[in-house]
Amino acid sequence: MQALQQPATARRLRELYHAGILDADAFERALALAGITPDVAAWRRFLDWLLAGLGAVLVLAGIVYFFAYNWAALHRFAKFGLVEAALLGAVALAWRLGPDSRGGRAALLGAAVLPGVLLALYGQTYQTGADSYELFLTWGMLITPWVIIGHSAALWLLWLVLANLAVVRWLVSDDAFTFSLLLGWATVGIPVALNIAALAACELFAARRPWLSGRWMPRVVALMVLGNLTPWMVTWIFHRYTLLVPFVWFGVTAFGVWVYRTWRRDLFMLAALALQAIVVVTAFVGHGVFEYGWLDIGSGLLSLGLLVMLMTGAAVSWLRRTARRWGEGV
Amino acid sequence: MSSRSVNAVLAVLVEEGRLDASGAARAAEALSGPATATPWYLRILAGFGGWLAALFLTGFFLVTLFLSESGMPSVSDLLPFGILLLGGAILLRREQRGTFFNQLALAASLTGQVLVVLGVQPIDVEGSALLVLLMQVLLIVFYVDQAHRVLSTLIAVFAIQMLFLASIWWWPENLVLASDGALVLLPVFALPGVLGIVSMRLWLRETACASPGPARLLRPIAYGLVIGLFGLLLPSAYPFQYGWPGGMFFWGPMWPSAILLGAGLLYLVHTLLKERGLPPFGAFALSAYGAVLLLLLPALRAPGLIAALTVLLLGFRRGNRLLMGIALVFLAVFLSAYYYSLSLPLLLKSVALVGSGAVLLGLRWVIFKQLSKREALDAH
Repeated sequence: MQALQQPATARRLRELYHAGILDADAFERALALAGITPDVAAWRRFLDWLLAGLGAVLVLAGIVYFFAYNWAALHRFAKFGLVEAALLGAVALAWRLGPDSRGGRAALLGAAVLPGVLLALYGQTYQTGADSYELFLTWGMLITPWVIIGHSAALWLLWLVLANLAVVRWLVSDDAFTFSLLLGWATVGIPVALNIAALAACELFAARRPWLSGRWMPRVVALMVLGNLTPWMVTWIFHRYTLLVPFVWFGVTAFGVWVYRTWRRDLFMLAALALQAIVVVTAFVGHGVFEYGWLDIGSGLLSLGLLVMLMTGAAVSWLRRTARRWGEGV
Repeated sequence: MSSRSVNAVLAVLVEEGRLDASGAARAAEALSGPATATPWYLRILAGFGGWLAALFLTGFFLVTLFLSESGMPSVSDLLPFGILLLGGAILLRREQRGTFFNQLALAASLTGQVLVVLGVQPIDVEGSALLVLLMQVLLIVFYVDQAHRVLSTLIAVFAIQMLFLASIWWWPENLVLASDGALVLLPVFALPGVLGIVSMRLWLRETACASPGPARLLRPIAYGLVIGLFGLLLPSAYPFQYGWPGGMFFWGPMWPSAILLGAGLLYLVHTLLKERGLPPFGAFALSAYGAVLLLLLPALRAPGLIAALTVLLLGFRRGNRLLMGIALVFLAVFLSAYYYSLSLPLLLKSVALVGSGAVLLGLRWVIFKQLSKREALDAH
């Protein structure tokens, strides 16, 4: 009877309909009872949301267009005034609504975006000649206090993206020339380390911060880790610069599998780790086949195709088994 | 999302006499079997593997057969391999339930399709399009996999469009005629509209389509048609940006589709009102039709907007978040493209944006005023 205690999702009800247990009429009624098909009140909320949302977006876009039209003609003080007024307005709104309401968090997020606009405008108006990393760095530092008091995963994510941009832009700027020369290809590891630190913080603090308890934030950060790590590893396969890279790659992947299999069970993370491992192994074998001629081209392509299928099939069945053991019934 | 358990829902159904007690007992059995639900990221993982493997395998067949006879290409040799692979894929998917074999079947099917098209060597675009279309119809019926059926439907939609477009492909001078609204292009410009009507019909009758038996095919087809509809409408969102083999380009008027989709939207609103038990020609209904017509006027040259709105309503009607998500993404795309492509100076664009936003907010006010008036009447 345990199956019947699960929430009545559309899929489960459809299975009952397919099995002939519910007839068409009972199926429709069941969908309504489960709150899947909307009642009058839900239709009203939806229409209200749709019209208000679309209307507000269009009016706001119109206002932006209006300033875009007059932008060149505006005096620089008027430009600064506009951005600063928007910033003050957003902060005032966030203050009034408080950081615990949805509107307050949205307003604070808007307020955190606007310093970037202001800094960019400043750089454009006075031609400061600053490197772009300085923009991201200053922007990130300016909003740090808001991020700390904001209790919002989205704010932290914005902050992390700015930190990433600042680091990456700094690494390719003239200021980091000697540094990059010394470290060589290992410099790519710095954004990897930054994002791993962020992910660790996310996972460690999640239990104590209710606003961080959802899984989307660590998942996005994990994708940022892999988005740096996997290309780093793949370029290593083709260029073989320092042995540090495969060690880091293997270490992070193995540790990630351990963490998300035993400590904090998350099938999404395991799937992402598996996918990137498949990419790396395929790149490794493909490089061997085509660069070093391990096999002739025909057999090489056949082996690669079979290898990819084998790895994907194994990964999916491993993930399903894992989920079944956790009792998620996937 | 539902917070009620299956048990709670079944209990109400039994109480209302729509289900007998033995049915409720059988329900536990039906749901305790191996669950078929797979999270979306596992499907992405499986799909990615299938595509990548198919790419390598196609490469293998091409390389082997091209290089086999002392470098002489022998494309027609590909056909038997393609047919074998397709047949094998269909049988494999039928027999096996394991993930690995599903992967193998997917890769074999995709490879087989490419090999069949290359092996037949159709002499013209029409021939290839017809061949692809035929193959997709067979695959939809015989390849027992819902995701594969969505994909096949999508490919079939584009094959039909290619079939219609072929007349311009080979005779670019038809393009000149096209600018005068020549009949030769009517199918091209009406196809999205027809797709919209057909997919709306399917989603409106989803319960019948989900019934046991061959009608189950219709659900993945309905998804494929919706995605295909948006795909075909995308070029209409960015007019005058696509080159054609005739030097000149004119992505002609999409008005045949806009009219069909507009009529579809009106019919949908009519159906929704009827379902809610509102009089189809009462004051509220008339203001709803008026609102739709008002929206249609500027959207006649942007059928994508009408399609996205229709799919959004269809999705909400069934509580189908996937369908709503698809519709919202395309609504944003078509809306921004619409204002972007208006050939107006920025200032007028800004006025147009604020104006249409104000119209929507006004509509909201009128509709909710009507609703509260109606409630006040009901209360009496």
